[in-house]
Amino acid sequence: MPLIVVSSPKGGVGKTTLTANLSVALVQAGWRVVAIDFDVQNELRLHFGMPLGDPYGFARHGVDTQDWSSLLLQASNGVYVLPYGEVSVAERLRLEGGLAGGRNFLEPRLRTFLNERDCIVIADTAPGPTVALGALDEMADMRIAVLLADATSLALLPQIERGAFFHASAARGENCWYMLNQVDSRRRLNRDVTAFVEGKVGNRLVGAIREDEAFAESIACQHSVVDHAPLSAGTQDVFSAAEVIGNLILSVSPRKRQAGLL
Amino acid sequence: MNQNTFLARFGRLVAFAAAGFVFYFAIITPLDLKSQIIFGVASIIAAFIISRSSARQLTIALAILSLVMSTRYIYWRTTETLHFQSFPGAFFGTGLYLAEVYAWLVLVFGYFQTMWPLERPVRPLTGDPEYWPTVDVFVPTYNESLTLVSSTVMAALKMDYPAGRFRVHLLDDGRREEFREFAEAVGANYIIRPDNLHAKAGNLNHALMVSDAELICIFDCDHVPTRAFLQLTVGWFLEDDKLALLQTPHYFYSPDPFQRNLETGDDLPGEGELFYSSVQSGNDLWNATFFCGSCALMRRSALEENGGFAVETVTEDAHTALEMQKRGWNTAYLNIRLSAGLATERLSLHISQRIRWARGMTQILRMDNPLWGGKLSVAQRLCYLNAMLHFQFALPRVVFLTSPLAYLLFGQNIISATALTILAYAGPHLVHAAIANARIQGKYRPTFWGEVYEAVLAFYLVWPTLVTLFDPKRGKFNVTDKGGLLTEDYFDLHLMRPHLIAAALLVAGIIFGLSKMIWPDTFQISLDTLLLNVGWAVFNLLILLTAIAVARETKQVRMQVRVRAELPATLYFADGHTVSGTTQNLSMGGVSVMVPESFSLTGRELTDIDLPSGAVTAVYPAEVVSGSNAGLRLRFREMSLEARANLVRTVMGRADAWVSGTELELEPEPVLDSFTGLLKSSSNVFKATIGKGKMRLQPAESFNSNPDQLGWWARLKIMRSRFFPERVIGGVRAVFLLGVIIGGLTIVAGRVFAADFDPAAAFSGGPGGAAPNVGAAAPQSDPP
Repeated sequence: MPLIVVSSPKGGVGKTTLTANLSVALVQAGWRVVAIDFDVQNELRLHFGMPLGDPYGFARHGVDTQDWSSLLLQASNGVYVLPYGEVSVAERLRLEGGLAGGRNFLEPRLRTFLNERDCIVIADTAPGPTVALGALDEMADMRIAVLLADATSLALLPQIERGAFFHASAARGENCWYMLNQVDSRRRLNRDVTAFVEGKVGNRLVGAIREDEAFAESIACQHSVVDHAPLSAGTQDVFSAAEVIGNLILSVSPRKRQAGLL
Repeated sequence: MNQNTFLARFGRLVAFAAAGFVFYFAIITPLDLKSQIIFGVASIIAAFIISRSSARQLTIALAILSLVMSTRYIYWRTTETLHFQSFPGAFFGTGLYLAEVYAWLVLVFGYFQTMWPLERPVRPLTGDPEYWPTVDVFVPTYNESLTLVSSTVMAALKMDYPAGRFRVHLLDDGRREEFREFAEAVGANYIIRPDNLHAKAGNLNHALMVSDAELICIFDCDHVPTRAFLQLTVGWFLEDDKLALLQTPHYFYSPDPFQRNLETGDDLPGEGELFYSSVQSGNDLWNATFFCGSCALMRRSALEENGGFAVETVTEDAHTALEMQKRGWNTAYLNIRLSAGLATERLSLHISQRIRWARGMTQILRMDNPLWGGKLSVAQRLCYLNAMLHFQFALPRVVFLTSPLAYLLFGQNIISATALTILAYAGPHLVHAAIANARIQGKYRPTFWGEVYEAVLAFYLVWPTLVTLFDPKRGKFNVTDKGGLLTEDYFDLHLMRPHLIAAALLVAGIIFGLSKMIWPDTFQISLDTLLLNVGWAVFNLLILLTAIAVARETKQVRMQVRVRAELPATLYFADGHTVSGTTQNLSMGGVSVMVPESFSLTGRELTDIDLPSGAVTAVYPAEVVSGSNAGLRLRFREMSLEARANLVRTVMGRADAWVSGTELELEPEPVLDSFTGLLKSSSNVFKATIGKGKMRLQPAESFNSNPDQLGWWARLKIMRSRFFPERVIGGVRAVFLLGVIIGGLTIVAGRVFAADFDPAAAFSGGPGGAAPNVGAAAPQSDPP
């Protein structure tokens, strides 16, 4: 039912990897998860074992298709995936033109997912402000900004907090949520930034994911880290973040299925 | 005064007077044997009924009952049993009587002192932290290693308190350059002085002159504070302007010699537990907590009014507290473990430490007696007096241990009464004391263990306490040595020589006594007196054997003591992989962690581990020593000073680090259970002689043949030769042989000179283990 938007003002922070792994962890917690890739780089699918050469995606048909559930793929680990797909420039602009319509364009197309009681929609977005983010921002139940535990985050965090990134939440007086990626307490700056962010945002930090080689390896194998290295510290952190998110959803929307989660 | 309060007061007065009359008659009324037995049995049944409820008021009832029965016993001993027929009989008899009076006194004062422990709560610090009192933290050192001292200093620096409001001072009487460098590197103030006058007290006094904070906090250099120490202790100084001292318990995270060397030691509360849980909390009720030299907070103005720390005695701590209280200052005790230290490693060190304490307390008794002078309440005087009296236990304890010999070996009357009468009076006295004490302090010290602790020390304390009693100026300060290693098991035979001789004599006495039973005609014995004395001797022998078993020093190979703690950890590997784990135990040297079963460790090289340290997570370089996923043992590698400071906080500075230990000892041990524990422990001494003890059986290297094919005796011999040098086995064997020979000779002599045996011996005997229990009433074990 809820829509979660994962985004970041800055590229290369591991949004896509996090989105993929959170999806798997949420599936293992009993949710149905639809992971949608709004990034033209079309990388989300790689975490779910989709062949590199496969051009399939929703972007090409997105405007004409009124209900995107008909475009859905399912990965072997249970996650439903909507890859972006390979598109021409014209096709991309056409989709963006649609997305510029905001909520009116997107909501009917996602309605089937959003009406499912135990379904979570996770949208992965391209870095920085994009048209897709604008549309998602209007509808999202939860906005997660992914930051690295490095010095740039010290500058980005105040911006996001001011509402310069997620406009809709700032307009509604809501706060957004955060995830820290590549946390490494061996490095002093990293440690200090982590402490700084923890201090600043408190319990709106849904997860701090430790730096772990297992992430890189799992991408190379086209697996999620949850499947590839279930015991690594990074996976543990993904699981705890998924648990926090799951609990938030249950507490925020009592309509969510309380019991009987598979 | 209005009428109601007058009536209430009058009523209370009448009630007290009535109770006084009842007790008076219960104590002095003479009864014939049969009535005394009925009275005794009835009172014991009453005590058992009362002890079914755990209400605190009934604890007082039990203690009063015990007091009445013990006083009745002493009254009876004084008025009816002091008729002696010979000079030796009079000598031994008077000695035993005086020892019993001493034990009775300590019992009375002990009940008074420990009856109602105050259980003072924490007084939280309030207001703006910028206005909290300033604190100077003193860490005095003389010859201890930097490893030991550095932990304490770093943990003190990491305490949670506003940064500008406290300073840590390292008081180095050893004047060592590396200590100066260390202090500068971590940000502690380094203080030295031109001489070493008055040892620790002088060192502290000098530091007082060169510092200026309102409060003084003192940690012996091996007592590592937790981060919460100041936060939880300073509050009371804001509450009470006249508070001069707040003492907290000394908790030892390494086993003391008793816990380590005895097989049942794991279940044994620490030797100091009784003092810090029961006695000091009891003292606190009467505003008579005294300073124990470390882990305490003091008010500078009180110390300055006092002219600094007392330097006249070797236990400057207790003496300083007494002097301040005589000037009208208050003291307090907070029974929360906020620091931890090392217990004395070896029995010999334990003994020398206690010799110093006994000497110091005796010095105070002579030079600054708490009974007179100063603004003290009667209760304060009694509490301090009992602390000093406690350390006079040595001679009475030796008397109790050896008294049955007077009858068994020399046929002397030392109590002129029949065995049954003695039992009828001493029985209730002993049983009541045991019941009341088990209730008041059983969870801190099982019944009979007071006797063991005293028996270990007694022979060594007799001379120092007596000398000091007559010439209090003698004796100098000796530093208790800590942090050493025992690389192999050994039996400290030399140390236990007096105990072995006493044990041998008891064995001789028991054998002689039994042989008298076999040839009753020759000796004209009274069977019940004989049985009473043999029983008493057997009990004493058990106590002595347990004491001897403590001297069988078990090896302690680990440089750092491991602390049990479950903390989240991250393990970092050279290939970039990380895994979460949970610690099982940790020390300053290494850590043992559990990692998920299916995480593959093969081919992976561990580089670091991170652990929570205070509010943050700190990373420590480490390497794997051994183990598997279920228990991976890591050793810390060389690390920066800052990392080490964090590690101290992780290992020993956690606010809750030592709290859980207390929960283990909540249930008082039933009297019978502690007796079986005693039996087991005393049998340790035999294990020592055949070489088993706590060690695992191993086939001997020097034998090619399979040990399984050897006879059991041969195997025992192999094991014995592996673990114990021949000299030690020889020594123990010789002493027991000596006992048998003395016993045998006495039997022969007895048969030859049978006519010399006085039939009146039938009327002699001892108060069966009597005073032992009483003596243990409230040991003031721990002043400095």
